[in-house]
Amino acid sequence: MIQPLYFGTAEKPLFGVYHAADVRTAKPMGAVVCPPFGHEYIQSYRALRNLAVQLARGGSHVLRFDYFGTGDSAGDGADASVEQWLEDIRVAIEELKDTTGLGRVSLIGLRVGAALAYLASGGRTDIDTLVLWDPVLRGKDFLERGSMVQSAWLKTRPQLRLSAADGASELIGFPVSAGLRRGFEEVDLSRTAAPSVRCCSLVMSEDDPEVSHWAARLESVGMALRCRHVPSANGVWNRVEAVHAAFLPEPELFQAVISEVFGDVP
Amino acid sequence: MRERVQLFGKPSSLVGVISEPSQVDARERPAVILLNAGVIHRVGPNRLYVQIARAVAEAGFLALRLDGSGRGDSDVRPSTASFAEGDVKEIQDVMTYLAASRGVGTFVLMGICSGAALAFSIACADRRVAGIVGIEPYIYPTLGFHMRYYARRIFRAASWWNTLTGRNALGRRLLGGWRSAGGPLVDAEMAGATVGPQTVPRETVVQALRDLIARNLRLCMLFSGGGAGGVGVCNYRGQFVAAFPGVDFKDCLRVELIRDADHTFTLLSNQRRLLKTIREWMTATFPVETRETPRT
Repeated sequence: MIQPLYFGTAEKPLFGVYHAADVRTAKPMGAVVCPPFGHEYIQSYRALRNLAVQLARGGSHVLRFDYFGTGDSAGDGADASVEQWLEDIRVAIEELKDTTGLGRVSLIGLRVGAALAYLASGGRTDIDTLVLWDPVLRGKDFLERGSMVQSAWLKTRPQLRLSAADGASELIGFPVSAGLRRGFEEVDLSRTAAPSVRCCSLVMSEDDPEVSHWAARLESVGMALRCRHVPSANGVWNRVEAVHAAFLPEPELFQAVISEVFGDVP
Repeated sequence: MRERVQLFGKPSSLVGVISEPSQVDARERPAVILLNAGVIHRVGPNRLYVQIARAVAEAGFLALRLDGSGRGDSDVRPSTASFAEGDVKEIQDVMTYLAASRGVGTFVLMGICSGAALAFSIACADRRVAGIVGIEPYIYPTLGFHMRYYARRIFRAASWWNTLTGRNALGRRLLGGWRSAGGPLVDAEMAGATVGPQTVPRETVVQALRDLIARNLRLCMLFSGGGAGGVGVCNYRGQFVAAFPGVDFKDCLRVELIRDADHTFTLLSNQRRLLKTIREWMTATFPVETRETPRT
């Protein structure tokens, strides 16, 4: 059963979809899905919906949602900020806990969503598992690579004109305000203390030495960490030819994320 | 303006979001339904459908953005009907629901690309459709289209090279003999830009348009400068009328060609132009009297 809803405050309602755990397989588990940003959000929407459906069939409650200023949530893109999105994740966590009665939930994040999930976990004691799928390690790198992809993509559309100044305030169809840019530039997981979670899983579809190095450091400071590298032929991240293409993860990659969510739960 | 989730269908498997105007009795004006662009969910490419829905709601129209079966959050349709038939029937059922629950009598259907095509199919099947906003709808190439297409390439060295080396359709014909390359003189670039309507005989579409115009259905057709290489389905503003000779559009048609936009209006400046055009057309075509209406 899925239940689309608006939750949060009357001033900043957030759109979400709650997937109730299948009663036949129900476990005392719940997960909040933190989506990507911009065109990656569009690309991966159906994939994350399918992920939630599978997780619910496997017995976990799931809440997917759109950050303020994105998707169907209230607000314009120009009003979005990283600070607001971290608050949105906190609101989503409380919403899932209230709906299910669970005391602890997991966070699943894809791309920028993975970075936000990691940051939002800091200081909390009610996050059981973090599943970080192709995480963005540094917001500055994400913006720079996205800008390069945008420039290369614009060259394939010679009729489009984007000045350098305008190019800094939009990223492949989505506004990036000065405030949002500042927020992204402050995101650096390699300089952020590890959150207190029972387990953290990294699922990587692309080889990223920096993320691997960061993972090694997390393990060295005692974090219970699992790493899964499942190369994907259908990857779309930072590929000019895949702008506006749907993200269709192969079954093996999809299953890796699902199994990391359920981990060693009996 | 306020937004609500709405489920449709039996079981309630279609997910939509309604944007409600705050000061107008929505029953007096057509409701807007935004139809999926390909497989992109109801927010639309670059969140365009959210922006359009909110813009027209601010202008006094109830707007629904909806995931058809198998898209976004909606389940796959358990039906033996073809995709085309099923998609049309689905939206007709949605219109019936809105008519019964909201008292809406007429509808304006909006869509990008395949969404525009679906809007046209539904309009042909259902007289409750009073208007269509087609963004990058399918269109037939005309003599004017071909002239402009090739004129652009006459002054490009790469085009001459491709012709002389047989890398394009014209080149293959010249090098291989006229009979060896049958079919229309369309290379891959152009074929990609004009896919769609060639499967429907033009005469069928002409008659359908005549029927729609006869019942005063209003059309707003919006085109961009195209996809890769700047090749679009429409490369001059008069192409839509020229593509359908024998159709007297009277005052029922508005066509805009935003040359410096791409197929999904990626740049924010083009999104703003698109929104402005749609909002202006809606308010001019279906004028609204704003008055205080008690909320029920």
